[in-house]
Amino acid sequence: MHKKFSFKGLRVIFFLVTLSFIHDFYALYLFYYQHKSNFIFYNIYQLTETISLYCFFCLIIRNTSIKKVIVFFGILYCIVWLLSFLEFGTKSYYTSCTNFENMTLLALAIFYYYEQIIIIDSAFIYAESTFWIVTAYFIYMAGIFFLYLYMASLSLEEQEKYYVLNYIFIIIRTILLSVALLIKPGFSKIDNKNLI
Amino acid sequence: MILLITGFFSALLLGTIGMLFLAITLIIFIVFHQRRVILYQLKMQQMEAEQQKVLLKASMEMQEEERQRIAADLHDEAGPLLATARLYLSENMVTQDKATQLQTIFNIKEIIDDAINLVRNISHSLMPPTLKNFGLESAVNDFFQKINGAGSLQVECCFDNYEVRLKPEKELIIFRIIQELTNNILKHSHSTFIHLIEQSAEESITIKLHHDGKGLTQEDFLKMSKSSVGLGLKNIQSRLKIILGNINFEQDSSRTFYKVSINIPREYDEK
Repeated sequence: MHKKFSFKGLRVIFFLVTLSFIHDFYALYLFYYQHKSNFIFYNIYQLTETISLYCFFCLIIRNTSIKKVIVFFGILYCIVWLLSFLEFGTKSYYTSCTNFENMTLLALAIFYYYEQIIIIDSAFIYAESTFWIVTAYFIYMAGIFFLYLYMASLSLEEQEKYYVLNYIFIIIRTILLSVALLIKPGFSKIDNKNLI
Repeated sequence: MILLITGFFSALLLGTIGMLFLAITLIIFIVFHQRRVILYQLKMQQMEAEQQKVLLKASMEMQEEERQRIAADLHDEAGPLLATARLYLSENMVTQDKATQLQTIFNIKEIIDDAINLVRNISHSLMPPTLKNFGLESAVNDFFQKINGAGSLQVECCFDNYEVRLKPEKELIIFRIIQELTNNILKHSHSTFIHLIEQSAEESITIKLHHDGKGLTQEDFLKMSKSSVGLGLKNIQSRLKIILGNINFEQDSSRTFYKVSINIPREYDEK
């Protein structure tokens, strides 16, 4: 693994970005060449993405109680996913899982920001790659929150019309993740002991 | 129906824009707030460093003052005594008659005794023997008895259950602080009494000094210890810092006397 990705959290994100890349290509292939959607593929991708993000937050958040909460979220998410699978099978996209994912990840991102104010170990918060990763997902989740909330009540035509929002936020997320992967690790670390 | 659908979609868009706005505002707030916290902490650190510098300077000045005092004592008192003794010895004692020889020897002996007493006094002022041998309680009692002997004011102390002694170096620091505070009261307060109370607990010991003269409040103390005056107060502060103690100056609610409280934590082996 490249030296830049020595931090475990970055490895998780690198894995996620690669997976997302494969997912997007496969989705395009299905859409343009097969003219069909493979929902189970999307749902499995969503499961992997969510679990990876929980792992990522588990690695960057220092509060042990919150780490336990993340594990609880992960288990709960798996249960919701399994229930959705049993109910809808491979015939639809599990929006309830996405909503659950969105809400929990938004809460975790806010907690991460709160922790950054309480425990300061970097002179510039924006010089840390984790900040950009969290920001990327925070903005993405905030942007698509209402879209997925209303998704189930929209017709296919309307879904297609409003799904452009998802693309816009994927682009924003990708740009922010690129910034995160380009940042040098430990650029602005400060000695916590020197601070009062 | 059309209105309802339009309203529904605009709610979706408005919700998305609202969420995005909130997210961006939160991120901007975090970035700026974090910068402010860091700047504040750096400022605090700087102030702490400045305070340390002031205390270090005060401590060095105190050392220098002490050295000058010892040098003056040795030069002005021990020097002439030893020089006189040498002068007696330089005289040709062999040619003197026996009576004069005995007188000269007696004089030299007296001078040497004086020199010994002087050196003892200097040594005692550096490290009181009572403190070393019998502890803080005896040393403070001894010190207060000397002040009482002068008769200008009434000084008394009361030690409550001081059975487990603190470390000698800690006792010396506390003794010096008591000396400094008492001297300040004698010099500046015009009080008629000084009363010292010591209270021992498992975790710490507390020393309270009461007097009825003109005293200081905590505000005055902090102001003076930061200013260029008040070397003695700075010394107290730097000494307390060594033993991790704290001091509090206050006026009694009846406004009849002032109180200085010193709290010193006990170390594990002093409990």
